[in-house]
Amino acid sequence: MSRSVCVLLALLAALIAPLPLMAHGGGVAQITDAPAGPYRVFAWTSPDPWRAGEDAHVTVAVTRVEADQTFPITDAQVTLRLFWDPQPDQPLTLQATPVSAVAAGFYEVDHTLPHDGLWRVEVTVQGNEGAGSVSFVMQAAPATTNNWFVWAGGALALLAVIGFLFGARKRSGARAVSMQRATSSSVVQE
Amino acid sequence: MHPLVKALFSPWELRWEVLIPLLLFGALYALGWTRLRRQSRSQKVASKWRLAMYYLGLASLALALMSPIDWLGTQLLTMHMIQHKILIMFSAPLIWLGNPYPVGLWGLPRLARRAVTSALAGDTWIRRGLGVISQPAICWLVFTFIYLGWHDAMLYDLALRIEWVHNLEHLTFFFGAMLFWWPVVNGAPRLHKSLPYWGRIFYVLAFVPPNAIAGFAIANASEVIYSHYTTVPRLYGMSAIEDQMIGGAIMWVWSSEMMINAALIMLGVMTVQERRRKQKQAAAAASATSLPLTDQQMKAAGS
Repeated sequence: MSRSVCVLLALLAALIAPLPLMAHGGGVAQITDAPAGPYRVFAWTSPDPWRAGEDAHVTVAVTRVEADQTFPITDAQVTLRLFWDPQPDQPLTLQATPVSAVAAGFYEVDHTLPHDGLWRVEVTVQGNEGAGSVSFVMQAAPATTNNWFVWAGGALALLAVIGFLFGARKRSGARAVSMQRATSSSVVQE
Repeated sequence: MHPLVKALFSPWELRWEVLIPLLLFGALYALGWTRLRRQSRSQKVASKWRLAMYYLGLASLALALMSPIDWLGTQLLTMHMIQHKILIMFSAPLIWLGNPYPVGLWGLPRLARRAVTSALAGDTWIRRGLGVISQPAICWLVFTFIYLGWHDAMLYDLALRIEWVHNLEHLTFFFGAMLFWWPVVNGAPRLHKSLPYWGRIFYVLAFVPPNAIAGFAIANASEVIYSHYTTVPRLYGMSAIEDQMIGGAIMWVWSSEMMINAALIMLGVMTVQERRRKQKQAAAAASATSLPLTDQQMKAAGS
């Protein structure tokens, strides 16, 4: 019993322990300090590579340089248009939203990519000082059926089962030995 | 107000993946502490001092991972260094000082408590494994390897680019630091003979040279080592190279200073203990000869 509880606890700990230490990942820089009208735009994408059928994430930072100082633009409208190479006349239009209060001037958007292949991402910034746009190209990989999280979960479950069976076998062996000892001692007493 | 100060006063991000485990571990400790205090109020295992240390440790984890420091770490190397220093130099030793093993154990249901104690009390693979990795030399080497390894330019940039690598970086920093501080704080479960204080002082001071060399190299590099920081907008009034200089100096000076502080604290504890030991010896000698000990003799024994 204690062994199975141990295995269970270890599994729970493995699940819970990493949680407090989650962090922000920045993504791969696609555009760095590119002019877009009166603004300077930065863009990062994740995951690397983009994959069909999975969420694609774009983070955009909008800034303005005045007298050698960089200021975040917090009230811009940031629109992303994703053009799939085989169908450039049917873009996906997405509205980016501010990341958080501390990330002033940062906007983000998530979208499930419908196809693999070449995508042109156009970032349009509309603000009080004017408007501008920049673009970059992404290559999305085909959809995969190999989900590493499922594999990892399966491996953990398998370990738990092996641990449980091993413990059960050991316990039944110990029980048989103790019963044998009890029987032989009672025979001796008789 | 300086944009960095303004950013530091931004609202915290209440992330469930951080909050839930912190609340769980906090509640477990509170339950164990209350149960132990019910048995005896004067015992040392669950003292008010230890309670304060443990919750300060949890609070420092929250500060590192939910406050604006977390986001700012992706924009400034300086803030990223501060975040890592909080995890390594504050959270881990404070949690150890809270004596989490016996107190947390008493917070568990009876069945789980028995399971954990039986896993650690007998000749089990868990105890054997912990026994191997908790040897002071191993603890020191593992932590130093993790600490220096993550400061490699490629790995550091990878952590800033890919979220799960960043998670792994923080996880290994924190658990590596827990391992490092284990023999220093001499926290339970104690699987080895306690290191003498001079050994602990040497142990923490031995970390100063590798840390100082790495920090000095980062602070004095002529080019930006971590290229991620050249791809972010410079919103906080310092260039990437200036940021790197400050970040490297924090690693070089602050971490070294923390280790020296820890050594000084242990030196103080060692001195006090030695004085008490001598006083006891003098008192024992005096009672053996049945002669009353004068104040001057007591002072002489103490000094």
